[in-house]
Amino acid sequence: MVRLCTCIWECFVGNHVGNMAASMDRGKHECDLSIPFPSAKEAEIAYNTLKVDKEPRKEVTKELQLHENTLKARFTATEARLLRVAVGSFMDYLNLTIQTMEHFGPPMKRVR
Amino acid sequence: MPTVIGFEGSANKLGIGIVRDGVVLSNPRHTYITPPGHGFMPRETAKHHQAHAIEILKKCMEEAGLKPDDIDCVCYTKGPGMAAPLISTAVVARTIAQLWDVPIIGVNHCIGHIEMGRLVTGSHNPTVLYVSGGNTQVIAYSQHRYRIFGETIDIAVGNCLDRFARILKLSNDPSPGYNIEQMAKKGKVYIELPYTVKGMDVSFSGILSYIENVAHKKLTAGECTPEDLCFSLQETLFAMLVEITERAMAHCNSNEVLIVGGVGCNERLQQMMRDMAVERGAVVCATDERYCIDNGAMIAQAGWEMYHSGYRTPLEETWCTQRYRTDEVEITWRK
Repeated sequence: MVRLCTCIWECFVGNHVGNMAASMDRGKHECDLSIPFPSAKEAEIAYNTLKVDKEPRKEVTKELQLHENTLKARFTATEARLLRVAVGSFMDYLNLTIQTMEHFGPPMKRVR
Repeated sequence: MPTVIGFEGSANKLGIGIVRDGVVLSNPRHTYITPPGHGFMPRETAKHHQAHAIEILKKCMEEAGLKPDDIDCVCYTKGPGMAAPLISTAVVARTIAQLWDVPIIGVNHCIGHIEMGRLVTGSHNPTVLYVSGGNTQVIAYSQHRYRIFGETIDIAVGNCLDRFARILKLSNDPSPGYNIEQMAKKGKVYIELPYTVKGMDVSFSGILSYIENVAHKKLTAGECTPEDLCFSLQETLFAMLVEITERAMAHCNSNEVLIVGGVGCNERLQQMMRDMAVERGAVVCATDERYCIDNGAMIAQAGWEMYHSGYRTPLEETWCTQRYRTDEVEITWRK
C-alpha cells in the first residue's frame, strides 16, 4: 500500500483595504492554501469530499480548485477571527480526509 | 443481498455499523463524555469524532470480517443534528465512498431509529414514540411518509433530563439519562410538577425551569432528596409522553407502540407505556441500549432500505443539514 506523504501546505494572509468609500469592501481578509497530493486521483477525492459543505457564515467564503494533483483553497472573511475559525475547521476536515485515505486507500475501481 | 455501512455522528456518539440483509454484522461506537455539570459542545464533539473515526471504522470492518470489496453502499447521517459533528462524520463517509467506488446515501437520523426499531423488534406498523436528547416526536406511517402527529414545541425530553442532571451535577457516564434513572429508583416522595400536554404536542421548558427552582430551594432546605426530584421528573415527563402516544394510537387505530431513541432505553418509560398498552390491548416494542442509543447500524439499516428501493445521493448533494424533518423523506420502501 502506498503511504500518503504528509501534506505540505503554504499559507499567507493578506489584508487588503478596499476603496474607503465602499464600506462593504473595507477590511477584507484572505487566506490561500495550496495542498499537494501524491496523485491527481487523491487530490480529486479530497476536492469532492471538501467542496460539498457550505461555510456556515455568509461573512466567510471558500473556493476550492483542483489543478492536477494540487488542491487549492481560497478563504475570504470580513474579520480575522472568522477567517481563523474557517481555516481551522477546513484543516481539521482536510486532515481527517487525508487520514482516511492513508488508512483505507488506495482508491479502488469496481467492475460493475 | 446488499451490504451497507452506516456512519452516525449527529450528537456526542460516534458509531459505524454494517448491515447485510437484516443482520447487523458489527456496530462499534464511542461516546464523548463531558465532566459532570457540563453539556457537550459542537466543536469539542466534532474533535472527538475526528479523533476516533479511523479507529472505529477499522474496528467495524474487522468485527464484520469484511474487506472494502464486500461493501455495496456507504450511508451517513445527513441530519438532523449538530453541524460540526455531522460534517466530520460525513467527510469520512464521502472519502470512503470514493475510495471504494460505491454509491453514497444520506439518511435522516430519525428514520434510522425507526427502521432499526422495526427491524430489531419485528413490529409491523407501530405508532412510534421517538424520544432522545435532540428529538421528541410521535410518528405514524401513512402514504409513503413518516407523519409527525405530535411533538415537543420547545426542547426534547432527553434535553430536559440531561439539563436537570447538570443542575444536580450528576455524572455524564455512561449517560446523564441513565444516572437519573438509577437515582429515580430510590426516590420516595412525588413532588408535583407542571403537566404541559397540549393536545398532541408537549412542552418541557417550563418543567425544567420549575424543577430547577425547586432543586435550589428544597434541596437547600432539606425538604426533599435529589432522588425524589429524579423520580418526580420521570413520572411527570413520561406520563405526558404516554398520553400523547395513546392519543395518536386512538386516532390511528394502532395496536403497536415502538419506542426509539436514547430515552427509549429507560425502563420506567417502557413500563408506563406497557401499562397503557395492556389497557388498550396493544403491544409495546422496545430495543435495548445497543440500538436505542445512536449507532451506525441504524443508519446502515435505513440506508439498506433506501439503497434497495433505488435511492442514491449524488456526491454534490451529500451536504449535512442541522434541521431535517422526519416527514421530508419519501418512504419508497414501504407500501
